[in-house]
Amino acid sequence: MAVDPITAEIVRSSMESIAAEVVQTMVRTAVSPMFNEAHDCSAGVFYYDGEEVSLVSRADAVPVHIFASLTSVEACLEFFHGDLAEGDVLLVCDPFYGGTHLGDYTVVKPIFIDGQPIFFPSVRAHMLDVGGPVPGGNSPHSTEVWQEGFRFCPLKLHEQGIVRQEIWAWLKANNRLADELEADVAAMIGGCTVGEQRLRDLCARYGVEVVKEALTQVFDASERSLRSQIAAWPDGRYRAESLVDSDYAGGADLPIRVELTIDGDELTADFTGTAAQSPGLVNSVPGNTLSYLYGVFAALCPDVPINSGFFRPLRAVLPPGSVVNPRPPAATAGATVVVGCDVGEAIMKACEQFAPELVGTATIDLCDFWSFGVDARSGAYSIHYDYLCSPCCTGGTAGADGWGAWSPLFCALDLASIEMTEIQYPELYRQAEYTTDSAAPGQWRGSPAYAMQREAYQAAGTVEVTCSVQALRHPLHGYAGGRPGAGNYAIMRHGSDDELVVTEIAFMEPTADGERILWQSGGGGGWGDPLAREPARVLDDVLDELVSPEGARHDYGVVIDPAAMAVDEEATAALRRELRAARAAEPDWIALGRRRTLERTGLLAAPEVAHAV
Amino acid sequence: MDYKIGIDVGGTFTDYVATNGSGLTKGKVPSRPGDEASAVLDAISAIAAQHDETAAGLLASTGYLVLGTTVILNTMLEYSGVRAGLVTTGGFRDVIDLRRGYKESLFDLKLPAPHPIVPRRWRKGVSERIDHAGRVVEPLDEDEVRAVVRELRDAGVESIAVCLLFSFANDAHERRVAEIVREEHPDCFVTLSCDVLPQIREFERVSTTIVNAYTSPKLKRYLQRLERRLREEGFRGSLLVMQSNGGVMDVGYSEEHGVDAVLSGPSGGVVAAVWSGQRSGYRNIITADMGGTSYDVCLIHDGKPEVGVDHWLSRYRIAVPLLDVHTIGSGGGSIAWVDRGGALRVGPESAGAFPGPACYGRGGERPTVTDANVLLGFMDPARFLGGAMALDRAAAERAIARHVAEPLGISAQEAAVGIFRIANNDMANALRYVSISRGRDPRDYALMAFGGAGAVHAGFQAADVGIKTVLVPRSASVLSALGGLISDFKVSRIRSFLRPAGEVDLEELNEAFAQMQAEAEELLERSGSTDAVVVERFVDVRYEKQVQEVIVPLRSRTRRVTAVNLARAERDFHDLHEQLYAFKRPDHGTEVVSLRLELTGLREPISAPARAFGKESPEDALVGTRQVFFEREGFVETPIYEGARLEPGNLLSGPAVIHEPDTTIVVPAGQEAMLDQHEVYVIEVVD
Amino acid sequence: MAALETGQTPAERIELEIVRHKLAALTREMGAVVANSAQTWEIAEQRDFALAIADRHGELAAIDNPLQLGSTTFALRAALDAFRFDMKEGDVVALNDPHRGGTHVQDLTLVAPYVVDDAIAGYLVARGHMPDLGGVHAGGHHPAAREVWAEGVPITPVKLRRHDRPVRDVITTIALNSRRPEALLGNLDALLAALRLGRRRGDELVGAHGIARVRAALDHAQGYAERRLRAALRGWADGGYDGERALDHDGAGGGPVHVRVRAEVDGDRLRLDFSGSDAERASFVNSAFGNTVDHALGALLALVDDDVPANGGVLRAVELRCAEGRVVNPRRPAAVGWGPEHCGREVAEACAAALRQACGDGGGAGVGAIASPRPLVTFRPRARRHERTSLTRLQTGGCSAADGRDGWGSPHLLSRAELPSVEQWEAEHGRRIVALRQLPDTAGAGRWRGAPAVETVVELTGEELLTLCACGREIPVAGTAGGGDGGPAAVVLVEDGDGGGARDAPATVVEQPAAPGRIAIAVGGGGGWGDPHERDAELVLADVLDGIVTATAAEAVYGVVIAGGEVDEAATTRARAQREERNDGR
Repeated sequence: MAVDPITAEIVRSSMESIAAEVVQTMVRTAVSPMFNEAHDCSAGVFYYDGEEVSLVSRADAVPVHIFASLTSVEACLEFFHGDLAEGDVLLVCDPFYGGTHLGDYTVVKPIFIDGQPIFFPSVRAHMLDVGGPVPGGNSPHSTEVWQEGFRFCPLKLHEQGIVRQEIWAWLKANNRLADELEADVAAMIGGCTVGEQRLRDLCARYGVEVVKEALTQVFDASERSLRSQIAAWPDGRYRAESLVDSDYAGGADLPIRVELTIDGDELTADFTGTAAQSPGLVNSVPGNTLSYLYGVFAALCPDVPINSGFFRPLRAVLPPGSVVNPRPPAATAGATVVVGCDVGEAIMKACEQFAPELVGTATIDLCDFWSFGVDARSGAYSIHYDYLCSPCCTGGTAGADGWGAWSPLFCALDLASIEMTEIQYPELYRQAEYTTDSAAPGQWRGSPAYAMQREAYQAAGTVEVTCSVQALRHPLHGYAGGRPGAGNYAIMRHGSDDELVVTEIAFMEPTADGERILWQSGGGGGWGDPLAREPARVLDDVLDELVSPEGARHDYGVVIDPAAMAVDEEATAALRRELRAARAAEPDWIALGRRRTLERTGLLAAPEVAHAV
Repeated sequence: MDYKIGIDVGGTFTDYVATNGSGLTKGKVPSRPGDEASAVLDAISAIAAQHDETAAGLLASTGYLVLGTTVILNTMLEYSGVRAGLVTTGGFRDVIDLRRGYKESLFDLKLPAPHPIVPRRWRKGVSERIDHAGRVVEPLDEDEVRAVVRELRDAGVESIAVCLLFSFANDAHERRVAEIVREEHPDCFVTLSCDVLPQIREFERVSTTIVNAYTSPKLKRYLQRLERRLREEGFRGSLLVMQSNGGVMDVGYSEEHGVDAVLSGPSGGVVAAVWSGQRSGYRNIITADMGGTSYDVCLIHDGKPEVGVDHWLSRYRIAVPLLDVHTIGSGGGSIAWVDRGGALRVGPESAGAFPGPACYGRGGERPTVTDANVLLGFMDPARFLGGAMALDRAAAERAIARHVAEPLGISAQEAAVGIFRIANNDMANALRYVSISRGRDPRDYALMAFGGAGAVHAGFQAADVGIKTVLVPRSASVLSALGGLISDFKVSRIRSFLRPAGEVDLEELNEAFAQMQAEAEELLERSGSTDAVVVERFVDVRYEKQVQEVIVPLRSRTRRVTAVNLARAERDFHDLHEQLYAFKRPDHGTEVVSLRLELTGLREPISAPARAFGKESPEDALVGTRQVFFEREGFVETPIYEGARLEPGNLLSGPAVIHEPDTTIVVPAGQEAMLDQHEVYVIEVVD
Repeated sequence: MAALETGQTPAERIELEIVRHKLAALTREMGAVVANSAQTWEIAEQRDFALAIADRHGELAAIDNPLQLGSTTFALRAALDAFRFDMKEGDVVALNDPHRGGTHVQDLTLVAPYVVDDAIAGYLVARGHMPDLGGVHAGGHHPAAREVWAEGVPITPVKLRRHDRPVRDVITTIALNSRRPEALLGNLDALLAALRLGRRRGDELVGAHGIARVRAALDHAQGYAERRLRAALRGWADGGYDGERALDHDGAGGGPVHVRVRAEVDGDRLRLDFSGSDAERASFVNSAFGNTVDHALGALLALVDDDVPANGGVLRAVELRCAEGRVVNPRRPAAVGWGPEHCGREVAEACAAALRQACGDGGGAGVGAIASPRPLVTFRPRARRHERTSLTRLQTGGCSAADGRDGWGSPHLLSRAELPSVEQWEAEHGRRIVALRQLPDTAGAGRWRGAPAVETVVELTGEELLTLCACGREIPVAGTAGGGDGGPAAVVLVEDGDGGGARDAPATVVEQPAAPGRIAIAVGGGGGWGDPHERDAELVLADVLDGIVTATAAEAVYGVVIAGGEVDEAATTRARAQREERNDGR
């Protein structure tokens, strides 16, 4: 049946608003700050045409998060083949059974129309605890998936509309925050139920056949868009790599290598040469790896509706047994961001070679920070995963400086309100502020790095914290001549004479009331040659105390007359000539903020730094 | 004679409504960009003319004049506010830049930063710290404050916002900073977050506070200038300003609280919609105001507009309670385009008021929804704005052909139909969103359409969503101004009061409410409110650990909240939660987050006598026919009616088009329109 | 139900007895099925499983493994709490939650209703030790575990089968949490096969005797056990008796773990209260309450004459109590992985110590220590995390003496396990057992001496990661009635090459690389019973000739002087007399 493009567009935009309502309901009814404050969850509508599963629309939070749910829905159909019924509600988590890491739970609700499961509203959310030996499931000592928490294959939470109490009890017995888990998963189901209602309305209004056909056209349209874009790029092979600082299990500088092959309107990403699978917890299963491939191209084509059609021209070669396609029982708890984001960065660096005007930092690179302790005010045990310690990741792009906190693909993750956090957790924040000279220099600079200081406050006894640092030796890349970000690090007992500088990981480190912890969140990469930056913009940054006069000279070759607070044109021109020559000789020159970071963490001497910056 | 006047100064037109007890006088005069005061005086002259009065005579006998203003809105849209600074807790001056990580686009790497209304150089941290319980962890360093205030003064900053962490729990430090500012920089405008929004969450609070600091001084200047000129002209009545919460307040209040007047105009429209809906017997309404660039939707349940607190304006967060007007970027000016994949898209880009749609003939090249409407015969090029402006049909056709029809390989008319349907669908989704996201079924509501083109689309949207009645007030085009005449005085107070529901101490609660009420009453008296006062108390409640609060009314009949009232509220909370989110957990602990108090100073209602029914046949108003497109029937020779000539009781069945001086109403086939005795077109929708 | 008893003809009573014995035999038959078809040594050799038949109220009428009477009963109750009104023919419920009646997560219990004429007539229970259920280390023994989740995945009652069909997501999920899914599924099949057999035999019983009789027999069996036990208790002296036993350390750096019991005998009723025991520890030595009850009843049954059948009747006569948060009744989510060994055995010893006093000169008083500490020693190849070799299973001996007999072989409570054949073990593991021998002078001296300690020496290649938790080194097996303590247990590492040499292993080791060489493990020697000087000199001579006692010890401890392979009667009389004088001197 043919459907006019208008109806197709109507179906498409309706699907978008359905996904939005699903996640709305979820976020508003969840109990964990992880969702109702941080929005570390996402929703999607998936479609099954009898042969393959497609992503129709998505909403909220991190897009790569829900892209990865494709495999979750596929796993459900695979596992329950011939055993799926109206009223079933399914739950997925296992990295080797359709999930990405045990922490991400995905609720999938098959919607039957005319007796066929056609639509799957789905919510994916990151659980704070999933049982296992270590709270939060995030232990650097984990070397196999069993050590990361309770594993399960796709489970039926509801069976033909009936709640399976036994399964809920089982899940709760394997969780340190059982009540929160119950409420949050209930909220996820609530979201899917709202989605079901709207999907049924839509099909009732247009007829399911029309909707199906419309979707086919919607997919085709997105596919055409990307193909035309790829075709416009020159054929060829483009290699790049991005290094993972550490797998917390003895492995350092793990290379993520990619070769993009553009052939007509097809693009293949081959990861041959990438590090072998790690004994640590950073292994990224294909669902996760692919989601970053999709994410990067979504960021390169922001005006194209994202759905499975968009993914079709993209192929990937993922060597089995590598860190981007590990074999069971690899540990994966830390993979979603750690390796995933380097996958994104490697791809972006490769794209830089044929589409420099489009690229920039699209992913993030984190310090993970967990604290485990008892709140003296309530006596309750609390697990706090604190995003506030490393949110500054945005890079410069042709035409815009980096700004704000998260880079686009992650900017739906709401940073918690400091005031709300202090009420919910026994903590006191002392600083959360940009630092001077820390922004990655470029014609368009990255967002400044940021310093966050925090201390335990009104905690009962010691609080144990785990802090894992990435992107210190290998910060977020600069593009088209821009410099890399300053890099992340943390300092425990900051300001005391017994400081612990964390360059890789501190695991279950005890802290007590009043002990400061400091993080630097390094900011995204710069874009283009810093010496090409308009002096007026540099002056603005100086006035805003984002760049010091010294930094203006050192990084941008701009001389500021301190009396007039104005640019000294001549001196600037001269200095820039000088620097241009010097940098031609030393392309890997180290920007001021980066240098300070390396000095503070005692890395400057380290040889690997040379190729790191 | 005692006149009451409502004037709403909009972007393009300044609308006015006046009454002296016998019916309404309404009309429009062109706005004067940058000079609202003059536009107001123009409007007054226009009213005077219609009443054979001099402006002075009219003003002398005017009891009150209520203004809807766009000063705040425009200041934010144009970023034309004053030089404003911020004093905040040391170490946290970038909260406003970090914006809790939020960005408007998930994929666009090139989205630039928002314009800094308070640039970092004027954001100063000072040593001080208060904890969540209001305890001083670190005392305020007054010398430091003095130093930074001088810096700001010397930098030419004329308005200072003060926002310290946990000031809602203990405002001592903020108030002390204000004193120091007044000492060091006496003529500086000062805004305290504990006054503007004494509520938890620093980003929401600081954003709201600096918006107030950035915009209020301009409103202050404007109001002072205007009031002076009005007094000179002999005006002795009271000058009031429409507030975003649907109430009015006097100049004195408004000068200090610009941020409360952000939605001055739209909320006036909603209030008027409630009023005229109720007169015609409808208490459950979804209002749809379709302007040139936006489509504003508001849900009115049981005669009460929903109040929301999560608005963004010009990329800044405004968390004061506003009538919850949900806006999507789809209006008459929304541009239609074909994307790389060959799919037809409408909006979010808009041709705006200038150059506007191609058919305006002001150089607009790209096709808009309005152009499609012209092509489809909904709008009569000759009658736009009552003939004030002729539309260029050919230009519309050219634009649609070039940018949509040809790329898609279809005819211009098919393309126009496509644009029309897609725009309708987006708006219909907005109607669903405001209702469903609140657990309401849109089919239980009447759709009230106003604004330029609202009534062209309403009938189709209603059919799509399943709404059975469409209402179009004759005063649709001046509804906002009308709102001014109807609104009561209203002060909203809010205060954080975070604790488990089980641990609420009634004494403490009543004490807090008493204080809030005292503050509110003082403001009302200063505004010259009558003594007839209604108090409404609410608690924001949520499940423990949950963050989304639900606003629950406290059903207290006395000045005190009793244990029973509180228990009742807690029970209501569970039901409200279920109604809103399809989900409740009665066994789970709840906590109170904040207290709200709304003090309403009632104003005498305006009298607008009902008109008697005339005969049923609308033939007297029939002025001809023309080709108009309808989805099922295609192009149909359709009767055209002159709205001005229609009388109450006239019944006309679709397909039909009614031309009011500045609105066009399309009645699709299968629908029936009747003008009721309160000057509202009631359109019954079948299917 | 006395009602059933009275008015029964002798013939009927005989028939009930016949059915009672058939039921007991049936659990042993089911056990044989499990032992023969299971694929893991824990079941096949350690015989770590239990099969039971319960009446329709969930009280056990027969169990093949008396040492799991309590935990099996509690697990069954937990299953019924979840599904009492939702159990149909062909359903099977699985659970292993240590904090809901279980022992440790490795013991998975299956419960199936036994249905006759659409009514539940009783329940069949099959429990077996699973090779691995996740957690930090394969096998689940993790000394540093602070929570049960570090030992594996607790499974609350879930339906494994419905209407005789497998519930796929549940079974797959259980297997997914095991490092050895095939072995686990194999063991599940073995347990299910046993349940099927139970059902078939049940039908035969009902066919032969009628449902009414079978129902009656289920109750009669318990009534019989109850009467037997109460009769025994009546023979005991009323009063309160305290017993205590300590474990060297808790495996996580914590000092001795004390288990204390207060026994109150009141006519034919016995109450055991463990509330005086130490608070729960942040390590794997806690004993889940079900496991505590198992060991307490084990001790009780060992002390009363031991053909009192282990079933629900015993629980009717004994009341067991323990405050929450004690090391023998820890709160969720405490770790409990080693509990079935330690401090389960300390529970048994503490009870024996208390009850011995109550027995007066009844048979029980003559029973010595009924268990002995066995160090936990496991290792795995560095490269292969799923494998785990246990040396604990090679440990044997250490039985204490009793009035009238020397100790021999393994102690009472540990006698269920079979010692693997050295040849078979070496074949399986491709590594040498250097020695397996009794050690001189380790047997607790006494009129009746304990069994000597048995030392097992195994070679280490240096490729192993070692996990061990030593015990019984500071606190040996106690002697009874004047008998001497057994020799201490030992865990000794012997490194190859010079600079090596023997050294005592640390108290706790977790996944540490082993040096090439050997490891020697000895359980403690059994405790002696009665005064060594009262031991028949000829028996001492025999022990000396057998190398169990050295001549020096014979003279010093037993006062028996050996000369030229003969007892020197005169010297012996003198030696023994001298001690008398010394004693009189004091």
